[in-house]
Amino acid sequence: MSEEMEKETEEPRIGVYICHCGLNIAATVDVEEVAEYAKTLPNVVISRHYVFMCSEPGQDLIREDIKKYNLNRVVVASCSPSMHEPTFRSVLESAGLNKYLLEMANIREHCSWIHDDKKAATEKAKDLVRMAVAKARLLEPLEEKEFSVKPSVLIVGGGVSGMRAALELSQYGFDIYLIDKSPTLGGKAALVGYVDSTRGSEIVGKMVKLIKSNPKIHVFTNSELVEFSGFPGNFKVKIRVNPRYVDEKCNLCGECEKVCPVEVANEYNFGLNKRKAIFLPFKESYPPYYVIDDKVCTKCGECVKVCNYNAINLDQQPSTLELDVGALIVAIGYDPYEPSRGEYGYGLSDNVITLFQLERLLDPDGPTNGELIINGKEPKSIAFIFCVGSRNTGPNAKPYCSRMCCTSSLNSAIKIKDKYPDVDIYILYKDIMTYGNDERLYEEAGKRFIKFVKFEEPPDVILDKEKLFVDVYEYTIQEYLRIPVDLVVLAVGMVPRHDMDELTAVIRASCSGDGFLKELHLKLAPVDSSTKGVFLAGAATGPKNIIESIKMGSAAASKAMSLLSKGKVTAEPTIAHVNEDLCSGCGICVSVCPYDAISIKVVDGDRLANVEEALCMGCGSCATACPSGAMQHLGFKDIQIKSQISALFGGGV
Amino acid sequence: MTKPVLVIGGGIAGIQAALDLAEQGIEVYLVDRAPSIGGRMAQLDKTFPTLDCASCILTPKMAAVPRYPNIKLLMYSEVQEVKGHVGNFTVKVLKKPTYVDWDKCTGCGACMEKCPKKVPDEYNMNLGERKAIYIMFPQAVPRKAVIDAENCLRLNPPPEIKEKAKGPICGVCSKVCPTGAINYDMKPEIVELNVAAIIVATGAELYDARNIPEYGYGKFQNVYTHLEFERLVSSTGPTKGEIVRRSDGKHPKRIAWIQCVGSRDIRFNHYCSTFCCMAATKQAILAKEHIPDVECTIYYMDIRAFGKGFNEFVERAKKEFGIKYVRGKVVSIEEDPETKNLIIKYEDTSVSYMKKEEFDMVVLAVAVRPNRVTPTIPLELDEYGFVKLKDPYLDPVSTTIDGVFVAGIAAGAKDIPDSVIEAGAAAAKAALIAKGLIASATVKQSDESST
Amino acid sequence: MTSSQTKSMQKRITITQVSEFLEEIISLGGEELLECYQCGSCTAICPITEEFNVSFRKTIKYAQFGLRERLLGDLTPWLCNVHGDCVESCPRDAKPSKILATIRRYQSIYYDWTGVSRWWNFSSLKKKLALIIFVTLLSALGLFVLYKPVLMNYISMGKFINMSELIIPGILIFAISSILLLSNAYRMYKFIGGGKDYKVGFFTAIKSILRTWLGTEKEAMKIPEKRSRILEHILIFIGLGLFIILSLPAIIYPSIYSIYPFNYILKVGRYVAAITLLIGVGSPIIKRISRSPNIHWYYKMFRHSTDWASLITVFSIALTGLLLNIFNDLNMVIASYITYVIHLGLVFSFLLLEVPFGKHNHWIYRAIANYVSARKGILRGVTHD
Repeated sequence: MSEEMEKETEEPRIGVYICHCGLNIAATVDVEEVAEYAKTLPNVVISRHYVFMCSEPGQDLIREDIKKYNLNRVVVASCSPSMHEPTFRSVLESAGLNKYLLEMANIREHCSWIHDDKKAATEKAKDLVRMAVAKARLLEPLEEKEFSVKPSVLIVGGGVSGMRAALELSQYGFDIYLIDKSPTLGGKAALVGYVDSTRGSEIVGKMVKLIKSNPKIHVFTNSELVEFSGFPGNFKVKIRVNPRYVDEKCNLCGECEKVCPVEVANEYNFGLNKRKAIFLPFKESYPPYYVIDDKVCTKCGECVKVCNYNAINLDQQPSTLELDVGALIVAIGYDPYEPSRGEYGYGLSDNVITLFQLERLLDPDGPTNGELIINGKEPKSIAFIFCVGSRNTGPNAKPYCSRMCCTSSLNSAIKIKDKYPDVDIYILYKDIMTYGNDERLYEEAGKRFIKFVKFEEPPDVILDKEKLFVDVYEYTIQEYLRIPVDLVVLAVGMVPRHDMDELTAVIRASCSGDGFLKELHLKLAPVDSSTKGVFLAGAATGPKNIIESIKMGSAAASKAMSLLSKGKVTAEPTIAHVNEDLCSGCGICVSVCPYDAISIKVVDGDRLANVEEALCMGCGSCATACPSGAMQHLGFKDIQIKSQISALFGGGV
Repeated sequence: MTKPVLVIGGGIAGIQAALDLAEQGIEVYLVDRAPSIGGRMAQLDKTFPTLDCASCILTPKMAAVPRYPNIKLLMYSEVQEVKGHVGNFTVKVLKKPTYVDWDKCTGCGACMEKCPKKVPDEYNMNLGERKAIYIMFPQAVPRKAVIDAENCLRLNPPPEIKEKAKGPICGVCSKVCPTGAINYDMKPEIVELNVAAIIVATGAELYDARNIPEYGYGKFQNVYTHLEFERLVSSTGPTKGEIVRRSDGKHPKRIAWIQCVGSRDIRFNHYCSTFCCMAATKQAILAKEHIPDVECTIYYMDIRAFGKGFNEFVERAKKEFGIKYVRGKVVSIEEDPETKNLIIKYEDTSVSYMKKEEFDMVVLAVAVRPNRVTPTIPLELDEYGFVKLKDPYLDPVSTTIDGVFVAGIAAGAKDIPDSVIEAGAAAAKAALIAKGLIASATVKQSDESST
Repeated sequence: MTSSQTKSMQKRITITQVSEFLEEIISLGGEELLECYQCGSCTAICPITEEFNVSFRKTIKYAQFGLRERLLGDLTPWLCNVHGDCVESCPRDAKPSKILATIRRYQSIYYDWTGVSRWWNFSSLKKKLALIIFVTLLSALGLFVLYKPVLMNYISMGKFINMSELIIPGILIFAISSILLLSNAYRMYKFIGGGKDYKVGFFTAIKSILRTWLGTEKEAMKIPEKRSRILEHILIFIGLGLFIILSLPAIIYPSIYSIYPFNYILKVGRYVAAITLLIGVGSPIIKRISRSPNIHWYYKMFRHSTDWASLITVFSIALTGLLLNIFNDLNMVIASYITYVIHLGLVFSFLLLEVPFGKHNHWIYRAIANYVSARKGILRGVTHD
């Protein structure tokens, strides 16, 4: 039997320490009186008061007393445990006592800081100490468990934030698995977006180049995460690698494309043109070879016939990759808001396009080689309508602001003016969100004679045979305007990915009200998810521009590194524990656990709750919900809590 | 062999960077010129859009800092000299004398109580007073006293008294200190550090609104800046959270927030200060919570509610709290000499007329500016003093000096979540250098010239 | 139908021909037109909007969209007395005062039915000066040809010609000038809605306008930079005014100036007028030319060719007037006659070009705008009779 276990079975010998906290406690609570009172409680061997228990001399008092008086429980009545519980726990540990044999009574935040009446406050402090002593008697030593970690990270999502995280983490020497559902890395930034005057595709190109040459980063495109289990530092993941049907022998000659009979809308140009079933997503796709979209391929085999490189294999099957990784970073990005048919004339006229489509048109690698031509004509006047799908400006609109559309639209508008100086551009806006240094774009737009129309009520797009009008009530001149234009650009925002639910089901993550992934705390932990070991990056958590996504990828990498750097993770032992004799396997605990740490296992035909120790956060929900009392929260067992309640009301001491 | 990292600035960005690095087992020197860490966030009452109490979410992080044995705090200190190169910087830090032995000081506060000299309190934006010996604020970390030597009667006696006195005067604090921690003979100390990387997180100050005299800031008693109002509304502030006017101590009945004072303005600062629209919304809601029948109006040009939860917050302010938003830039403020009320002049662009409105109190959204970064690091700064990035799109936290990173408002106006994210990103890079895993922060391209 | 659509069934303006509009406006000095982000600082700070319930930010917005109908119907630009507070408060440095000056030129072009104003405002300074010189020489030649015997007679007598001799060409030119000016002014009056929606009586309106105008200018005089500009204006006003006043009696009573003491009054008056005018116009010319950094921004901002043409014309009139007097007093007969003829030629070109089509129509347009706004109840405090 270990020394510590011996101590558990012994008669409790409690040391009580009342802290003055300078004047913070002592000014309101008569600490001497409380210390004297504590001496009268059963099992209390020594009771002291000191000006600052957390200071070195204060800590020494406890250490010496433990040795001198052979203490096996310690009660410290001082500030909130969130301030110094770890401090005092280390004191116990350094004196050879299990650190979980400490109980704290908060007589500062819960007492001296909130009361003025000295007499009453002192009595209350005594009550709190009595309660703490009652629990201390029933404390048990607990062992922290250590788990070794796997030196690898899975990153789901190969856009700029995922790639950035991969690059940073690979430099730590970890194995990085970078997967993307689409056939190529790059995400949306490869298609749209700028940082100042640098195109997103240039940034993607640079990142891909670095990833290509990095032996630590293993890229799997056309791949999905299908299973996820385990605990921080030791996740088990299953990835389904969907068949591309084309391999690296592909020479990008394009002959297959010519003979393919199937044509569908090209999602890489946001529906502006068509692609074949066998296609190359965009010029700098990575991996740099064709892929077959098997949702539309008829398997006619024409492409195989013309491929001189024998690169096509129509019989390719999906494969599965099972990995053990230490951490997961989710960087799945966003979808652009798709206006419904008829919304601002979208879908009813070729001359109503979205911002994403516009950026593809302006991209020199786009469907029109960078020429702004729609149906063979160059528009002479363009109206941008802002906040489409955002800020509640429509029946299907989201309530949030999509953050990047004002800046992106103004950037595009200025680029149009650069190329076509005589084009008339109207920006119909609710507020211009060019925050920070982006304000310069707004200034520049004015210098380029771009016109701004402010609305509160969304404008109407009128289609009159071949003509296009935008009707709007201009807020600042109180006039109803009708603006004849050749092109309407809808500045659509970002919405959560359409397949978000699929992913959240697999990784058991939660979303906030707006449908994006929920971070643990908006300010304190913006890249952590509520599941330890799973980190979030990029627009998956909410609208962000390219630079912000890149920064978040770095920050997520930093967090993953913090988790994995020590080679092991420690789990706090104040977690849920199942008494298998009492457990009936009802499963109520599973349904209330916010961390999905409990599952039902079947042992010899018996259904039993099973707590995954590394995942359990010790919230106590399951213990509270358990009808049989089988689930107990170690360190906060029913019997311990009940003893405190009894002690408060003067009963069972 | 892991080398340490220097973090300059102990605000939320500096704290986050230090914690991230320490978690990885790296030694961190966290330097701040104030006696406590916490920075601007410690001055806020509540934060938008969740109305979380700023201290409640900040102090656990602040408390975590001293718990890491590998974070060494150098408070009341300034970086004097930086030499060297990435992986091997020699830094000289000047530790200003606190005149209090922090090993003995228990933060009991007895000295503060007895000190006879009152001084405007910078933590409370000079709205309240502190003593010449003081603890910065109740939740200060470290919770230790410092003597403001310039205002200390003992260390810097006024000439007329010095002449008459026969010896050193006052000294009350050393008499009442229970641990004998006061040391009037303390000298400044130079600490030499050798670090692998540096993170600049030096934070923000406000543009001086007296440069824009049309608003009467500094002349009219009831015209405040955002930060001053924040201190008024805080329960730890000079008025214990009572929103009262400087002129007569009464509750205001009508408060106006004026946006874009010195921001988005070619004459002062071109850029947008990013968070003031949300800060004003938050403060208007807090005012309503403190004074239920107060009328709150925000005068804006654009409501920049672009972040997560921001637009919903503004809608809530309008519908639930009845905060009024008027589109029109306030161009001047006049004071009624008797009531000390303020009359603002603006054009209500929704009806196209010039209007004048009277308010009891006016809060100015003054532009944010970066704190002065020590010139000893030859960083490239923009015209306003913000730190420029070397490669904004591939490497958004690296400065123009290899091995020196930047996080928070030092690199440009931003709010708390963005500062925390940048701190994480900076820590990631700095950690790689500290652990010797990369020799340089420069992203090398195989066939391109160095970026 | 959405609520926007129902509203749009009501009064709605269709934006048309924007690029043509923009081209015109930019060449009239409107480069900064779209830099304005409609904050309203200018309208708020303007001392005129203290008195008048108007918004010239709205006018600038009309111009941004090229809403010609609205612009021509807007009297607001003519209420501007160019105090310049707006320029100093503009956070975008969009120079609202300059944009309004541009809009005034634009409006003048369209108020004018002849098309001369259009040519005048768009042509370069060289072309304008060429036209002025042409009209001057033509008038000079014309006068010489028509009045040769009379002139020769006076020259032989060694006496200076009596002004009343030239009464017919004088009245003729004056009449043509007035018809052109007043017909354009009437068009302007109609465009801005004069005669309609009057809420305030005639005398109340006149009184309140004068009081307002005096009040605003008096306030402005307190500020040194504005004071110098107002004084320059006053000097020009006095100078030109004196010239006119001195000419009038000779029409009614031709030989008045042969009688003592009127001949001295005429002589002294002419000197005063000439010198006053020279200072009043010379000062802004010098300030516009000067490269010193201490010159107030106003002089650097208003440099359109119409501004220069106006200054140069008046300066020339003043200079020739002064020289005329000097030559007269020195009994340099030939010189005085040559100068006189050129002087008259300049006056005629001034009356035929500048006054109806150039900058100098501003005083009548301003007067009309003030009058109409007062009668429509736009003056704060005087909204109804």
